[in-house]
Amino acid sequence: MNPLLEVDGLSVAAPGRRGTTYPVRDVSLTVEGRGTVGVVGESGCGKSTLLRAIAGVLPRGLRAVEGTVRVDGREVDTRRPSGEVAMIFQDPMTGLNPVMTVGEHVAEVPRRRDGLGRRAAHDLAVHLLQEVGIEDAEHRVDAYPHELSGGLRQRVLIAAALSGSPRLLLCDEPTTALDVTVQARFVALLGRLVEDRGLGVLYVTHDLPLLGTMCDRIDVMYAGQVVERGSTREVLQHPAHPYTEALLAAAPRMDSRRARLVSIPGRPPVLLADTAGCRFAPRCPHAVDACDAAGPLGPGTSGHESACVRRDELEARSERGVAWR
Amino acid sequence: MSAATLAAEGGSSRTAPRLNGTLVAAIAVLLVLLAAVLAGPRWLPSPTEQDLGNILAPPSSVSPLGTDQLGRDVLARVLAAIRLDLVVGVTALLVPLVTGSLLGALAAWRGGWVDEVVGVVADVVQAFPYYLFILVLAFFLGAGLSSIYVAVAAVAWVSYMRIVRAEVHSAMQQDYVQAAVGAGFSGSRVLLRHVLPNVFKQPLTYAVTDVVVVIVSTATLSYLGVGVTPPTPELGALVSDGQQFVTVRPLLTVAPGLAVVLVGAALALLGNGLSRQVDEA
Amino acid sequence: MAAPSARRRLARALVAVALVVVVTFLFIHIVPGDPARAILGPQASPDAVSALRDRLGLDRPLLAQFLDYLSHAVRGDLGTSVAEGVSVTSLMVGRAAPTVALVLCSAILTVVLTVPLAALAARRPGSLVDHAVRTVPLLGLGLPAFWFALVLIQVFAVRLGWFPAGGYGGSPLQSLRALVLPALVTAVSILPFTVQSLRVAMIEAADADFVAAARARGVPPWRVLRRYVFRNAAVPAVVVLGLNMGWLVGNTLIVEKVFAIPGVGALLVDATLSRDFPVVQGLALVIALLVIGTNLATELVRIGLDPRLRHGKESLR
Repeated sequence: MNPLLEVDGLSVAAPGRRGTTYPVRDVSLTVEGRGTVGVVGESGCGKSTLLRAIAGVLPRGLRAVEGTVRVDGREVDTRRPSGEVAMIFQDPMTGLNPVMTVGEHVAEVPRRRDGLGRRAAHDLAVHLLQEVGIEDAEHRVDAYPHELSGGLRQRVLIAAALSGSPRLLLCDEPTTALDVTVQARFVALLGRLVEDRGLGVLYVTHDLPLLGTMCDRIDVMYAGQVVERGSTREVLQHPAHPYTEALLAAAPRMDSRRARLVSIPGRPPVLLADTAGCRFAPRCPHAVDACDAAGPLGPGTSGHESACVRRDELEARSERGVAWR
Repeated sequence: MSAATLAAEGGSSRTAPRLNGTLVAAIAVLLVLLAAVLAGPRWLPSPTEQDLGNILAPPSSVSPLGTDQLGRDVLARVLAAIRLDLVVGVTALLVPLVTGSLLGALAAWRGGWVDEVVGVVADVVQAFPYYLFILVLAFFLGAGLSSIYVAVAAVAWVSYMRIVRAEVHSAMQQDYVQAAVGAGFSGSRVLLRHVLPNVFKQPLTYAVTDVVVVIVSTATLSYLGVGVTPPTPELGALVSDGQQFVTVRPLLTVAPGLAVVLVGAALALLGNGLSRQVDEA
Repeated sequence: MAAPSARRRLARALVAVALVVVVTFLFIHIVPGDPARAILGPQASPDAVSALRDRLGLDRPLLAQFLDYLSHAVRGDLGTSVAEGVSVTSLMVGRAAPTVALVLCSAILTVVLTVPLAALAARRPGSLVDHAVRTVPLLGLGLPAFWFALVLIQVFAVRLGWFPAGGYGGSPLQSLRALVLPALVTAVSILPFTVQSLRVAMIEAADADFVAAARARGVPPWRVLRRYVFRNAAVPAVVVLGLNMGWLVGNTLIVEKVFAIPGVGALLVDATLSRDFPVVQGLALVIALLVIGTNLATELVRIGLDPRLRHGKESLR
């Protein structure tokens, strides 16, 4: 059986002043039905662009130049939405049209695309709002986005996303703008939807510990590439890439709102044409000459993949809890 | 770098050279016009010299655009008119530029009732369409340039007030201004030293485009017979003069009209290019 | 940006109306010297001047004059035309229809030209089409309405004979034909502002997250364009159109004169030239009140279009 989502060798190009840059470079990943995959990385690593490419809503000026995206084994066009995927955004206010009511958002696709009658679409909207845990849904359908709290808006966005009966839900840091308790309830809701509807979820964030609470597998992205991949437990407990390790170090507590990556020195590189070797090397405390010739992802000793040339060393040491020098 | 900033960079990289191109073209056209206006009198007959033996002459090597109904050289008159209109356009705006900017800064800085009063007065001024205001003033002050100066001073300040008010408002939200206030500097000192230097560019670039409006309205009033009085050559008055001979010598109407369009286009492009440079800086 | 509530806007418009009444009353008193002399001109005999002083009541106290002006104005009496000897109000009413028709046609034509041009430019920001759409209207900024009108008359009326060279009246269809060229002139004069602002608003709306979200979840493209992009871009665009109504009305004064349309604008220009003060004063008052009304209506439409501005919310995000 085909995986629900299969991205193979995807590159997204952005033509620019000093040549073409690649926010996403040769990325492959898969999401199974009822599976939740997390993609983690700093802002600007290309993770949002990856999601937009999969959803077929790349911003102006960006386009997928290589690779394929398959949903259920069928290739989809990254230049337009496939209808099989829905997406929710970081800021719940900007994700909703300010001049439309909650009900109009949720009933729109059933009514306009799927041809449901007004009454049926309205009932479906109320039902969906109840499904995402909005109390008093009969009254909330007539509210405008600005009349709702951030947490409620995010739920409305999910209800709207579900209205098209998607197979796959793409989440672009949906909880970054919410406070911790709301965030926890949101994650619980997502888990329930995966169970009830058999959804696949691709969840993007810079909050690595958060992924630990909800994902089966994690892909770590740096400078447009996947640098480490494995089961959640493997990645969190035995990071096989110095970047992942640095991410974990920068977010010491999983309930902390200050999970920022301030402690990684340097900045992510400008994603110009293909640079050979490891892109993290300039910021990496463990860089060696061999990094200039680092290749793609490869299996490490514990079975998950890493692009680091010293991955075996790193895994071995982290297992024993000894810091690198 | 996020996808959005990448997209923005990609966009501006394509617009930047062309934007400079229009700016350069606008400046080039203006320089050529200025050179012609200043050098014209050396080569051409006086714009008011009549030659009744040579009326409505077609273009020739002596008079490149022909002569009018009194035998006056059309090119000389058009150049003299461009000069007059440019001078009026620029000088008439000096007073409203200063008063409007000061009022805008004051309104934003003091807020409260000062802001309200300035706002209502601006509403009232804007309630009278530009041409209505000028016509009423021309009614009382009589035809002539002084009406135009007074009318522009009375009307044009509103735009500068609104621009500066908005700029000062946003400047006051900036951390460095908040810091200066917090550090206990006096209000006027903060306004003069920290806020105004950062807001003066916007009204100045807007003024470049506003010159076009003044020139067009000067020409319009003169065309209607309530602006500059004959025999002083003014572009709108020239159009009005030439109108009765439009079938015989269309150049008499076309040349001064095109001159307004050319001057206006060059200034509008200059103003637009400058404001985009300012926005990007 | 603070968005004043409907009630506050209304209060401010009322204050502006009061001030406009005072200003139009003071028109006659702001000139140095004798207003009657100013109206009649330097050649008039002293007898004629004192007669006019008498008729206008200029020797009474200023406040009494003002109350008189106000009480008459409220009843719709704006004085009597010096030149024609009929009441200003009836003169105005007789001339209103062509002007109203012209302003309406101009506004409609502006919208009809602005929307596709802005949409064309916003489709690919930075493209050649975008540059053309943004630059060409700028050139129109320096295009004098009177001259553009003359050119259109020469080309489309005199040479091609498609439209009448001027005038107004006859059957509704004839009147409409007579308004095509004048409306084109006034529309072109405000096109630079409207195209520019709708373009920016559309680009902003098209780049918004809610558009990407809607497209991703399967909302049909035409509906995204209508309900998400246009609907949100309409709010700032309506404001720009409304705020430029004064400019548009001002241009109709000139255009009516050139096309010989017997409207209020031509009446005003003629009254100025023939020094018919009561007509100038009355027209100034009425036109100013109409502009204030339009601006107020613009604000109310904006509040109607943008649910965030309802319920007197002062500002949002």
